[in-house]
Amino acid sequence: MTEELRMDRKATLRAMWAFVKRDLKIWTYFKLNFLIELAGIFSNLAIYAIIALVAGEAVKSFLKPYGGEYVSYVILGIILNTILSTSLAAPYWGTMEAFWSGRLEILMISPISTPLFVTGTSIGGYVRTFINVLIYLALGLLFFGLRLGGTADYALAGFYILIAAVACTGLGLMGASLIYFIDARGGQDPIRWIVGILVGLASGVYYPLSILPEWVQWLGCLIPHTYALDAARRAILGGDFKNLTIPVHRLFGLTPLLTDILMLIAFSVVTVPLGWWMYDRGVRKAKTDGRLSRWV
Amino acid sequence: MDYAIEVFNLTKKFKKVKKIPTEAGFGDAHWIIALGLKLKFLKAQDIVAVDDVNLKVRKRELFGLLGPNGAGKTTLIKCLSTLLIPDEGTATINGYDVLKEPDKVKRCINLVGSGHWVGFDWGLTVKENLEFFANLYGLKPSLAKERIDEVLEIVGLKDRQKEVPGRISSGMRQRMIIAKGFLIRTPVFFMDEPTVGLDPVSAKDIRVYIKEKLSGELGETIVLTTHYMHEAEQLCDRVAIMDKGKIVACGTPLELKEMIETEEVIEIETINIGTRLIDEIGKIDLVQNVASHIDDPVTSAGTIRVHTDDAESILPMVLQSIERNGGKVLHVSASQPTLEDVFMKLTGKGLVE
Repeated sequence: MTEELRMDRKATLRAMWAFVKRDLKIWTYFKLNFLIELAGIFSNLAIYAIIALVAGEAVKSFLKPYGGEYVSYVILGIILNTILSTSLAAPYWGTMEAFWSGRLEILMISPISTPLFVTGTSIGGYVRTFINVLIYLALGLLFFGLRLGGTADYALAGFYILIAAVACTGLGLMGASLIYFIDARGGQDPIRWIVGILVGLASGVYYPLSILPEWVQWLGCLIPHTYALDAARRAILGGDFKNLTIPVHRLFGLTPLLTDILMLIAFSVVTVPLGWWMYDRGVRKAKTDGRLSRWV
Repeated sequence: MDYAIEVFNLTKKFKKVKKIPTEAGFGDAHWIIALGLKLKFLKAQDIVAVDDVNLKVRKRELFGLLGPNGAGKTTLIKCLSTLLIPDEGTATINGYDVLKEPDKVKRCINLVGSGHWVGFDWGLTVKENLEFFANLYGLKPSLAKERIDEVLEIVGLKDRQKEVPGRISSGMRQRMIIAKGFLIRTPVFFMDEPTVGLDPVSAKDIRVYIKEKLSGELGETIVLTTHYMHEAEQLCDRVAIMDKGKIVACGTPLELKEMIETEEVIEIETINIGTRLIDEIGKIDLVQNVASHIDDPVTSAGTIRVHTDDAESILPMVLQSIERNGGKVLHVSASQPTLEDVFMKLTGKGLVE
């Protein structure tokens, strides 16, 4: 007998687990993958450890709100940026991978909803990032002098990172929708491209914002990374909770952590619904133009 | 009458646009180039892929869409399966509107495509790929296991289930695609040229399974597109013939063939079939249509089918033409009309050009 397919909660969980299992199997298909990634992380950390030796003292005074020590500051920055970059890129890469492998139509015709499709195709990226974060932490602690504050509040930091990840997912969805709107299928979308420039230049991943000219600091205020990095570092590295480090802090006159969370919530409230709306409209457009498939 | 599929004045147009060089390696700048080409896209001309199609497919019916490449069969299937949004008109699947209730439509349908090795992960084995799809469609683990074993047996991949798709032949990959389709048992099943690329024995086995198990035993409504006339004749309860986006005729294979029963068809097996020869035969008085099918590209050997009202009068002239063009007649026979003859009668050309 035939029957209409039903996607109840168990079936949905099975579908999600299928994505995770598939991504892990593909990731481990080439046995050297893990070693290559490990070497990449090690060399990345080594570069910043060397920079810390050369310039760590020079920026020490700027790092006072974050514990005053450059290696820990930058390693934590890289780890947080890795997490937020995944949120930003996962919807784009999930969709792109499905498109180029000829799987987009097959997934779109299956009974899973569009949000489930995006989550499913993105979830592998999060699993890999989680593993990478553990490697960063382990290598940082073992070899590169990463020191976490004695009074570190990991729950608080995790909360800020989570809200920032949500906001970045919204931005990521907006970027992924451009695959459908403007055929941005070459590995980059305009939104992620612009955010990527701002993250590198003015979010404070690699150096404190306060060493930059005021107008560049304001550019950093346009992305959620800046607030998440500020709050999470204060919480983890045992810095202070009073020093105003971002222009927006001075604008509102609230405590830095309160300003940070308000800004992150504001980003999430705007970007997530807008991202879903744009993605949905993008899929509709692709279905109208006949561009869900590589092949006609 | 209870219909599984109803199509109402469905039209789908595409923009004729230069391909965007997505694989040209522009890196980060690619989206800027894509944006520029998108502006050109707005001014591009329309191509009508499906043109005002009306169609009704009964529940449990095995329905064929027959037409040459580019006739609009796949586009029509994609519109019915919610992968394309029509420009005009609509359709219902199992009573659900494809435009208003696409999520409900998706729960009622299944689709098998052809060509490439679309949809499969190169890093997963044949069996793991099928397990992924079984989970994606919400199959319970015990049912999934049972079905996977069954379909692997049917498509003859049981021995190759632990191989990755890159290590099996293209024909086997097509069988994987079919196996994926057979896993899911929904009320409506779209099959887009499922047997393309299969060897004759596998193709026959697949056809038997479609006819006996899926259609006969399970009662699935099946829409099958093909440009193999024998496949349509052998499998389908009714056939719609498509050309240039339109349905030019629809009926049982017998009804369609009755449309040309007054005509005689001469079938000539020969070598050196070429455009000049076909043109020359076409110009002979009393010849209504002529089509050819080449079996051996090296010697251009194959079959010429000539439609006429008076076979006896024209046969000597046709044979002379073949001789003049360097051909060598191997066999001549009076033939029964086929669906290809019907297609030729209706459109003035053969299914396989």
